[in-house]
Amino acid sequence: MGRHAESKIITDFLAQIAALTTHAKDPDLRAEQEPLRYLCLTALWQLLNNAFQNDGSTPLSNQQIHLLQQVDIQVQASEALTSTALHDQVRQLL
Amino acid sequence: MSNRDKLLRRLADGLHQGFALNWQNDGISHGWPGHSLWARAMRLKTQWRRARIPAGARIVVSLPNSPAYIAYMLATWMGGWVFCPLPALHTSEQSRRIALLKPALWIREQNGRITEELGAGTMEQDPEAAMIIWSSASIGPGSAYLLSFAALLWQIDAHLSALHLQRESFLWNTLPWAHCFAGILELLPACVTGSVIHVDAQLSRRPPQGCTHLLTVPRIAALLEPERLQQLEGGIVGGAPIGAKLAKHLSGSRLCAGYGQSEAGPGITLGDPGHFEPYILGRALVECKLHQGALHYRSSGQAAARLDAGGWQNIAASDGWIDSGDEVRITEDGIFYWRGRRDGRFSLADGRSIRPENEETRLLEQYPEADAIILGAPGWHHLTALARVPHDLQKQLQRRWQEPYHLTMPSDQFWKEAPIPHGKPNRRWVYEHWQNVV
Repeated sequence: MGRHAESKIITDFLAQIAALTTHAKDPDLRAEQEPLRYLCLTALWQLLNNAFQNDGSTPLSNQQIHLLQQVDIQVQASEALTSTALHDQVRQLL
Repeated sequence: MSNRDKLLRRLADGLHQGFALNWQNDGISHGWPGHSLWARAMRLKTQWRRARIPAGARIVVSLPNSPAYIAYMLATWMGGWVFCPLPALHTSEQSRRIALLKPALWIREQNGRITEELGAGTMEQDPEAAMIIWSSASIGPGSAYLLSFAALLWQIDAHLSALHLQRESFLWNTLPWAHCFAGILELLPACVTGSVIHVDAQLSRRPPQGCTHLLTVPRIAALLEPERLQQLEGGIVGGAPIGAKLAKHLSGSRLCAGYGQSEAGPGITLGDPGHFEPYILGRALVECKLHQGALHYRSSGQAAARLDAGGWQNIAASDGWIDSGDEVRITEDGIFYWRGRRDGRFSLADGRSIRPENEETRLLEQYPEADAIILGAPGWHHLTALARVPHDLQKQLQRRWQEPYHLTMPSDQFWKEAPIPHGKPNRRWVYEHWQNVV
C-alpha cells in the first residue's frame, strides 16, 4: 500500500471515530464513547509508532511524524474530556 | 499533577514545538526532530515495561551526548524509573559506580553498538526521585546525588530567564550531559524552549555557523575568538575559575558567569550578563551565607541526598544548609568572588601553606599549550608544576616557561591512568602518584 493511501486510511479513521463519539445523542452513551475513543486513539498512536521505529537508529520521516501528530492532536482533545485515572491506567498498560 | 508529569509535559511541549538535535557524527550531519526523539522514547518505555522493570528502578545510561541519550532519558521518566547518567570513566571507577547504583538496566555502547544489560536492581521508594547524578570528582572520588523532579523544575525556571533561550536559539554543546552543568542547565532548558542543540560526536573545538548560545567551562571559552564570544546571545561560563585574560574577553558580552555544584543541582550563583572579572561567581541565585569564609547555600533546587555503600545520606544540616567547601568573598553590592577550595590548600615540608587553584588558573592562561596544570605536592620540599601537554607542544612550553618553580610533563601513560573528569585531572590521585613523576 502506498504511503498516501495509508495516511488517508488513518485520516478517515480518525474522522470516523470522532463522528461515532460526537454523534451519539444519548448523554450516557456519549460519556461511554469518549473513554473508548481515548483508548482507541492512544493504541493507534502506539501501533503506528511501533511500526515506524524499526531499530531506532534513524529519525522518523516527515510523513510519519505528520501522521503521529494528527493522531496526537486527537488524543489531546480526547484527553481533555476524559479522567486522569483513565490516562494513568492507559499509561501503565502501554 | 505530579512534578514528574509537569516536567514531562514541559519537555513534550518543547520537543513537539521546534526542538531538534543537530548531531554530527564522523562528518555526517543527522537532524533529529524532537517529535522523533519523543516517539523513540515511547517505544523504549513500552519495551522496558514488557521486560517488567519495576517502577522506581534505576536505569544507568553510559552514552555520549547523542539522540539515544535523550531518548533514554525521556523513556526513563515516562516509565516511572530513575535516570542515572554515567560519564565515560576508567573501568575500575565505572565498576565501583555500577556496584553502588545497582541498576535494573545498564545501557552502554560496546563495540559501536548500544547494549541493554538487565540487573537485579534497587528501587527508589520516593516517586519524586528523578535523577542520580555524579559530581565531577576533580578533588576526591565522585559522589552520587539524588535530584527530585521538583529540583529539576526549579533549576530550569531559575536559569531560563538568564539564558534568553528561544525557539530560534542554536546552542553549541561542548560538555557531556552526564554532568549536571550541561545535562541540567543546557539540555533541559533547550528541550523545554524548543531550541536546537548542535552536538559533535568528535568534539570539534570550532563552534558551528550561526551558534547563538554556549554553556561551557573557561578552558573551552578561551578557545573562541573574543569577537565570537561577543556575538553570542546568551549562555553561562562556569565550572572552573575565570582568569583575568578570559574575563576581559567576556566583558560586555551577553554571557553570564555561573557557579554551582552537583549537590546544588547545580545552580548557586549567576552573574549579570557581560559582567566578568577574575574569579567572579556572580549574584546569589539561592539562599547564600558565609560561615568562616566558606559559602553555605540552601535552595529548592538542591540534591536530596548522597548515595554511599550505607544507602542515602543527608548532605544538608537539619535546617537545609549545605557547606560548599568553597571559600569566597562578597562585595557590598552582593557579587561573590571565589578564593579557593578549603580542601585544595596544602602545606610544603617547610610548613608554607599553598593555595594552588588561583595560581593554576593564571598559569593556564599564561601557557595555553597545557590542557591542565597542577601545583604540588603536599609535604614536598619544593613546589612543582605538573602539566598535561599535547606531545607536539611540549618543547614549546618548556622554552616559554618562566616561573619560579620547576615544570614537569609526565608521559602519556601517566595521564592515561589518571582520572580526568571534565578535563581536570583528579588532584588527589595526582598527589598520590606524585613521586612516580617528580
